[in-house]
Amino acid sequence: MTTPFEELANLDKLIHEPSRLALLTALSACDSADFLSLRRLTGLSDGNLSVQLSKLEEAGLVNIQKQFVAKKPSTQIKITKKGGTAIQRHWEQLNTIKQNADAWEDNS
Amino acid sequence: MQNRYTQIQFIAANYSRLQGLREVPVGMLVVFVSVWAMYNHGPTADLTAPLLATAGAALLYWLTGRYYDRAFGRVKQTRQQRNREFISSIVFSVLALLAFWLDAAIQIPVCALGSVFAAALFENFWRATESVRKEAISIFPENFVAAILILVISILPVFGLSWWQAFGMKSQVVSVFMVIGIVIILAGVWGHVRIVRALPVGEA
Repeated sequence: MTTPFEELANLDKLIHEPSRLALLTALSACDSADFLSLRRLTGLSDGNLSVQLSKLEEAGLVNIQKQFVAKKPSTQIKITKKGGTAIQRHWEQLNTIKQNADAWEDNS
Repeated sequence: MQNRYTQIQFIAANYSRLQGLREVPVGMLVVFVSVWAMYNHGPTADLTAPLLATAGAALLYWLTGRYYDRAFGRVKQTRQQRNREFISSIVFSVLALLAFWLDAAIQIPVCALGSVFAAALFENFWRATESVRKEAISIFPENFVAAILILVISILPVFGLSWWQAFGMKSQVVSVFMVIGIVIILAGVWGHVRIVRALPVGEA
Protein backbone atom coordinates (compact mmCIF):
# COMPACT_ATOMS: atom_id res chain seq x y z
CA MET A 1 0.00 0.00 0.00
CA THR A 2 1.46 3.35 -1.04
CA THR A 3 1.77 6.29 1.32
CA PRO A 4 0.51 9.76 0.40
CA PHE A 5 4.13 10.78 -0.11
CA GLU A 6 4.65 8.06 -2.70
CA GLU A 7 1.38 9.02 -4.40
CA LEU A 8 2.59 12.62 -4.57
CA ALA A 9 5.85 11.53 -6.13
CA ASN A 10 3.94 9.61 -8.80
CA LEU A 11 1.94 12.62 -9.98
CA ASP A 12 2.41 13.78 -13.57
CA LYS A 13 5.14 16.39 -13.20
CA LEU A 14 4.26 18.07 -16.47
CA ILE A 15 0.84 18.96 -15.13
CA HIS A 16 1.74 19.36 -11.47
CA GLU A 17 4.21 22.22 -11.99
CA PRO A 18 2.33 25.18 -10.39
CA SER A 19 2.30 27.46 -13.44
CA ARG A 20 1.12 24.71 -15.78
CA LEU A 21 -1.40 23.48 -13.23
CA ALA A 22 -2.81 27.02 -13.02
CA LEU A 23 -2.92 27.31 -16.82
CA LEU A 24 -4.71 24.02 -17.34
CA THR A 25 -7.11 24.72 -14.47
CA ALA A 26 -8.02 28.08 -16.02
CA LEU A 27 -8.36 26.67 -19.53
CA SER A 28 -10.53 23.79 -18.32
CA ALA A 29 -13.10 26.33 -17.10
CA CYS A 30 -13.59 28.09 -20.43
CA ASP A 31 -13.70 27.49 -24.18
CA SER A 32 -10.54 29.48 -24.90
CA ALA A 33 -8.50 32.35 -23.53
CA ASP A 34 -6.10 34.81 -25.06
CA PHE A 35 -2.50 35.34 -24.01
CA LEU A 36 -3.22 38.47 -21.98
CA SER A 37 -5.99 36.90 -19.93
CA LEU A 38 -3.81 33.91 -19.08
CA ARG A 39 -1.03 36.26 -18.06
CA ARG A 40 -3.43 38.12 -15.74
CA LEU A 41 -4.90 34.90 -14.35
CA THR A 42 -1.55 33.30 -13.54
CA GLY A 43 0.67 36.32 -12.89
CA LEU A 44 3.39 34.89 -15.14
CA SER A 45 5.69 37.03 -17.24
CA ASP A 46 5.32 36.96 -21.03
CA GLY A 47 8.43 34.83 -21.46
CA ASN A 48 7.59 32.33 -18.75
CA LEU A 49 4.01 32.02 -19.99
CA SER A 50 5.21 31.33 -23.54
CA VAL A 51 7.59 28.64 -22.30
CA GLN A 52 4.92 26.90 -20.21
CA LEU A 53 2.37 27.02 -23.01
CA SER A 54 4.91 25.58 -25.45
CA LYS A 55 5.52 22.64 -23.13
CA LEU A 56 1.81 22.02 -22.81
CA GLU A 57 1.36 22.26 -26.56
CA GLU A 58 4.21 19.80 -27.18
CA ALA A 59 2.45 17.35 -24.86
CA GLY A 60 -0.80 17.79 -26.77
CA LEU A 61 -2.63 19.31 -23.81
CA VAL A 62 -3.39 22.71 -25.37
CA ASN A 63 -3.82 24.16 -28.85
CA ILE A 64 -2.30 27.55 -29.61
CA GLN A 65 -3.72 29.57 -32.49
CA LYS A 66 -2.14 32.78 -33.65
CA GLN A 67 -4.37 35.04 -35.67
CA PHE A 68 -5.01 38.66 -36.48
CA VAL A 69 -7.97 40.46 -34.96
CA ALA A 70 -8.55 43.96 -36.34
CA LYS A 71 -5.02 43.89 -37.76
CA LYS A 72 -3.53 43.11 -34.35
CA PRO A 73 -1.87 39.79 -33.50
CA SER A 74 -3.90 37.67 -31.10
CA THR A 75 -2.93 34.36 -29.54
CA GLN A 76 -5.83 32.10 -28.54
CA ILE A 77 -5.21 29.11 -26.33
CA LYS A 78 -7.62 26.23 -25.98
CA ILE A 79 -7.37 23.08 -23.91
CA THR A 80 -7.53 19.86 -25.92
CA LYS A 81 -9.70 16.87 -25.08
CA LYS A 82 -6.57 15.11 -23.84
CA GLY A 83 -5.74 18.15 -21.70
CA GLY A 84 -9.24 18.35 -20.26
CA THR A 85 -9.18 14.70 -19.27
CA ALA A 86 -5.68 15.00 -17.85
CA ILE A 87 -6.40 18.01 -15.63
CA GLN A 88 -9.64 16.52 -14.38
CA ARG A 89 -7.86 13.27 -13.49
CA HIS A 90 -5.02 15.22 -11.89
CA TRP A 91 -7.36 17.10 -9.56
CA GLU A 92 -9.12 13.85 -8.67
CA GLN A 93 -5.75 12.36 -7.79
CA LEU A 94 -4.88 15.39 -5.66
CA ASN A 95 -8.18 15.17 -3.79
CA THR A 96 -7.65 11.45 -3.21
CA ILE A 97 -4.13 12.08 -1.95
CA LYS A 98 -5.44 14.70 0.44
CA GLN A 99 -8.07 12.32 1.80
CA ASN A 100 -5.49 9.54 2.16
CA ALA A 101 -3.09 11.94 3.85
CA ASP A 102 -5.75 12.96 6.37
CA ALA A 103 -6.55 9.30 7.05
CA TRP A 104 -2.84 8.42 7.25
CA GLU A 105 -2.29 11.20 9.76
CA ASP A 106 -5.21 9.96 11.89
CA ASN A 107 -3.89 6.40 11.89
CA SER A 108 -0.22 7.19 12.53
CA MET B 1 -3.09 25.54 -2.42
CA GLN B 2 -6.53 24.54 -3.62
CA ASN B 3 -7.96 27.99 -2.82
CA ARG B 4 -5.69 29.72 -5.34
CA TYR B 5 -6.61 27.26 -8.08
CA THR B 6 -10.29 27.40 -7.11
CA GLN B 7 -10.13 31.15 -7.53
CA ILE B 8 -8.38 30.86 -10.90
CA GLN B 9 -11.00 28.39 -12.10
CA PHE B 10 -13.85 30.60 -10.90
CA ILE B 11 -12.45 33.78 -12.46
CA ALA B 12 -11.71 32.04 -15.78
CA ALA B 13 -15.26 30.64 -15.91
CA ASN B 14 -16.79 34.05 -15.15
CA TYR B 15 -14.29 36.44 -16.70
CA SER B 16 -16.78 38.77 -18.38
CA ARG B 17 -19.29 38.57 -15.56
CA LEU B 18 -16.72 39.80 -13.04
CA GLN B 19 -15.78 42.87 -15.09
CA GLY B 20 -17.95 45.10 -12.96
CA LEU B 21 -17.36 48.45 -14.64
CA ARG B 22 -19.42 47.20 -17.60
CA GLU B 23 -22.47 47.41 -15.34
CA VAL B 24 -21.91 51.00 -14.28
CA PRO B 25 -23.36 52.60 -17.46
CA VAL B 26 -26.34 50.27 -17.16
CA GLY B 27 -26.90 51.32 -13.56
CA MET B 28 -26.54 55.00 -14.46
CA LEU B 29 -29.11 54.60 -17.22
CA VAL B 30 -31.56 52.92 -14.84
CA VAL B 31 -31.16 55.73 -12.30
CA PHE B 32 -31.58 58.38 -14.99
CA VAL B 33 -34.72 56.77 -16.41
CA SER B 34 -36.16 56.49 -12.89
CA VAL B 35 -35.56 60.16 -12.19
CA TRP B 36 -36.96 61.07 -15.59
CA ALA B 37 -40.06 58.93 -14.96
CA MET B 38 -40.72 60.77 -11.69
CA TYR B 39 -41.28 64.03 -13.57
CA ASN B 40 -42.53 62.86 -16.95
CA HIS B 41 -45.75 60.90 -17.35
CA GLY B 42 -48.26 59.93 -19.95
CA PRO B 43 -48.23 59.34 -23.72
CA THR B 44 -47.14 62.92 -24.51
CA ALA B 45 -43.89 62.73 -22.53
CA ASP B 46 -40.82 63.75 -24.51
CA LEU B 47 -38.55 60.72 -24.89
CA THR B 48 -35.50 62.62 -26.19
CA ALA B 49 -33.67 62.58 -22.86
CA PRO B 50 -34.05 58.85 -22.16
CA LEU B 51 -33.14 57.99 -25.74
CA LEU B 52 -30.00 60.12 -25.56
CA ALA B 53 -29.17 58.58 -22.19
CA THR B 54 -29.56 55.10 -23.68
CA ALA B 55 -27.19 55.98 -26.50
CA GLY B 56 -24.71 57.41 -24.01
CA ALA B 57 -24.93 54.32 -21.83
CA ALA B 58 -24.40 52.06 -24.84
CA LEU B 59 -21.30 54.04 -25.81
CA LEU B 60 -19.92 53.87 -22.25
CA TYR B 61 -20.67 50.13 -22.13
CA TRP B 62 -18.69 49.63 -25.34
CA LEU B 63 -15.80 51.76 -24.06
CA THR B 64 -15.55 49.85 -20.77
CA GLY B 65 -15.60 46.63 -22.78
CA ARG B 66 -12.63 47.84 -24.81
CA TYR B 67 -10.82 48.83 -21.62
CA TYR B 68 -11.25 45.35 -20.19
CA ASP B 69 -10.20 43.69 -23.45
CA ARG B 70 -6.98 45.72 -23.49
CA ALA B 71 -6.20 45.47 -19.77
CA PHE B 72 -7.43 41.97 -18.97
CA GLY B 73 -7.70 40.12 -22.26
CA ARG B 74 -10.56 37.91 -23.36
CA VAL B 75 -11.84 34.58 -22.19
CA LYS B 76 -14.47 32.80 -24.24
CA GLN B 77 -17.14 30.90 -22.31
CA THR B 78 -17.95 27.29 -23.06
CA ARG B 79 -20.96 26.59 -25.28
CA GLN B 80 -22.79 25.19 -22.28
CA GLN B 81 -22.23 28.42 -20.29
CA ARG B 82 -23.37 30.57 -23.22
CA ASN B 83 -26.51 28.50 -23.73
CA ARG B 84 -27.46 28.66 -20.06
CA GLU B 85 -26.90 32.41 -20.02
CA PHE B 86 -29.05 32.84 -23.13
CA ILE B 87 -31.91 30.78 -21.70
CA SER B 88 -31.69 32.61 -18.40
CA SER B 89 -31.82 36.03 -20.07
CA ILE B 90 -34.90 35.01 -22.10
CA VAL B 91 -36.73 33.62 -19.08
CA PHE B 92 -36.04 36.64 -16.90
CA SER B 93 -36.86 39.10 -19.67
CA VAL B 94 -40.29 37.51 -20.01
CA LEU B 95 -40.75 37.47 -16.25
CA ALA B 96 -39.71 41.12 -16.06
CA LEU B 97 -42.33 42.10 -18.64
CA LEU B 98 -44.98 40.20 -16.73
CA ALA B 99 -43.85 41.80 -13.49
CA PHE B 100 -43.96 45.27 -15.04
CA TRP B 101 -47.54 44.61 -16.14
CA LEU B 102 -48.41 43.34 -12.67
CA ASP B 103 -46.98 46.44 -11.00
CA ALA B 104 -48.71 48.77 -13.42
CA ALA B 105 -52.09 47.04 -13.64
CA ILE B 106 -52.67 45.61 -10.18
CA GLN B 107 -52.01 47.10 -6.78
CA ILE B 108 -50.06 44.42 -4.98
CA PRO B 109 -48.11 45.06 -1.79
CA VAL B 110 -44.78 43.89 -3.27
CA CYS B 111 -42.80 45.28 -6.17
CA ALA B 112 -42.96 42.43 -8.70
CA LEU B 113 -40.31 43.94 -10.97
CA GLY B 114 -37.88 44.31 -8.06
CA SER B 115 -38.57 40.73 -6.99
CA VAL B 116 -37.87 39.41 -10.49
CA PHE B 117 -34.67 41.44 -10.65
CA ALA B 118 -33.56 40.04 -7.29
CA ALA B 119 -34.33 36.52 -8.52
CA ALA B 120 -32.30 37.16 -11.70
CA LEU B 121 -29.34 38.38 -9.66
CA PHE B 122 -29.56 35.36 -7.40
CA GLU B 123 -29.82 32.96 -10.35
CA ASN B 124 -26.75 34.63 -11.87
CA PHE B 125 -24.92 34.22 -8.56
CA TRP B 126 -25.96 30.57 -8.28
CA ARG B 127 -24.91 29.74 -11.83
CA ALA B 128 -21.57 31.59 -11.50
CA THR B 129 -20.59 29.85 -8.26
CA GLU B 130 -21.44 26.31 -9.38
CA SER B 131 -17.83 25.15 -9.00
CA VAL B 132 -17.18 26.98 -5.72
CA ARG B 133 -20.35 26.30 -3.71
CA LYS B 134 -18.71 26.21 -0.30
CA GLU B 135 -17.00 29.56 -0.78
CA ALA B 136 -19.72 31.08 -2.98
CA ILE B 137 -20.58 34.11 -0.88
CA SER B 138 -16.97 34.99 -0.05
CA ILE B 139 -15.80 34.58 -3.64
CA PHE B 140 -18.65 36.47 -5.35
CA PRO B 141 -20.36 38.58 -2.68
CA GLU B 142 -21.58 41.56 -4.70
CA ASN B 143 -24.29 39.71 -6.63
CA PHE B 144 -25.55 37.94 -3.51
CA VAL B 145 -25.69 41.14 -1.44
CA ALA B 146 -27.36 43.04 -4.27
CA ALA B 147 -30.00 40.32 -4.67
CA ILE B 148 -30.83 40.33 -0.96
CA LEU B 149 -30.99 44.13 -0.81
CA ILE B 150 -33.32 44.45 -3.79
CA LEU B 151 -35.53 41.62 -2.56
CA VAL B 152 -35.86 43.27 0.84
CA ILE B 153 -36.88 46.67 -0.52
CA SER B 154 -39.32 44.97 -2.90
CA ILE B 155 -41.19 43.14 -0.15
CA LEU B 156 -41.00 45.75 2.65
CA PRO B 157 -44.49 47.08 1.77
CA VAL B 158 -45.93 43.72 2.87
CA PHE B 159 -44.95 44.72 6.39
CA GLY B 160 -46.55 48.13 6.00
CA LEU B 161 -43.27 49.93 5.32
CA SER B 162 -43.70 52.41 2.47
CA TRP B 163 -40.01 53.31 2.61
CA TRP B 164 -40.05 55.38 -0.61
CA GLN B 165 -42.30 57.98 0.99
CA ALA B 166 -39.55 58.79 3.49
CA PHE B 167 -37.52 60.03 0.51
CA GLY B 168 -40.38 62.12 -0.83
CA MET B 169 -41.11 59.70 -3.68
CA LYS B 170 -44.64 58.85 -4.74
CA SER B 171 -44.15 55.73 -6.81
CA GLN B 172 -42.96 52.44 -5.32
CA VAL B 173 -41.95 50.98 -8.70
CA VAL B 174 -39.90 54.03 -9.72
CA SER B 175 -38.23 54.06 -6.31
CA VAL B 176 -37.31 50.39 -6.53
CA PHE B 177 -36.01 50.95 -10.05
CA MET B 178 -33.82 53.79 -8.79
CA VAL B 179 -32.42 51.61 -6.01
CA ILE B 180 -31.76 48.85 -8.55
CA GLY B 181 -29.73 51.33 -10.61
CA ILE B 182 -27.71 52.46 -7.59
CA VAL B 183 -27.11 48.87 -6.51
CA ILE B 184 -25.96 47.95 -10.03
CA ILE B 185 -23.44 50.81 -9.96
CA LEU B 186 -22.11 49.94 -6.50
CA ALA B 187 -21.94 46.20 -7.23
CA GLY B 188 -20.14 46.94 -10.48
CA VAL B 189 -17.50 49.10 -8.82
CA TRP B 190 -17.10 46.54 -6.02
CA GLY B 191 -16.69 43.76 -8.57
CA HIS B 192 -14.10 45.74 -10.50
CA VAL B 193 -12.02 46.47 -7.39
CA ARG B 194 -12.14 42.77 -6.48
CA ILE B 195 -11.02 41.52 -9.88
CA VAL B 196 -8.19 44.07 -10.04
CA ARG B 197 -6.98 42.88 -6.64
CA ALA B 198 -7.47 39.20 -7.51
CA LEU B 199 -5.54 39.27 -10.77
CA PRO B 200 -1.81 39.88 -10.34
CA VAL B 201 -0.16 42.34 -12.72
CA GLY B 202 2.65 39.91 -13.51
CA GLU B 203 6.10 38.73 -12.56
CA ALA B 204 8.85 41.33 -12.24
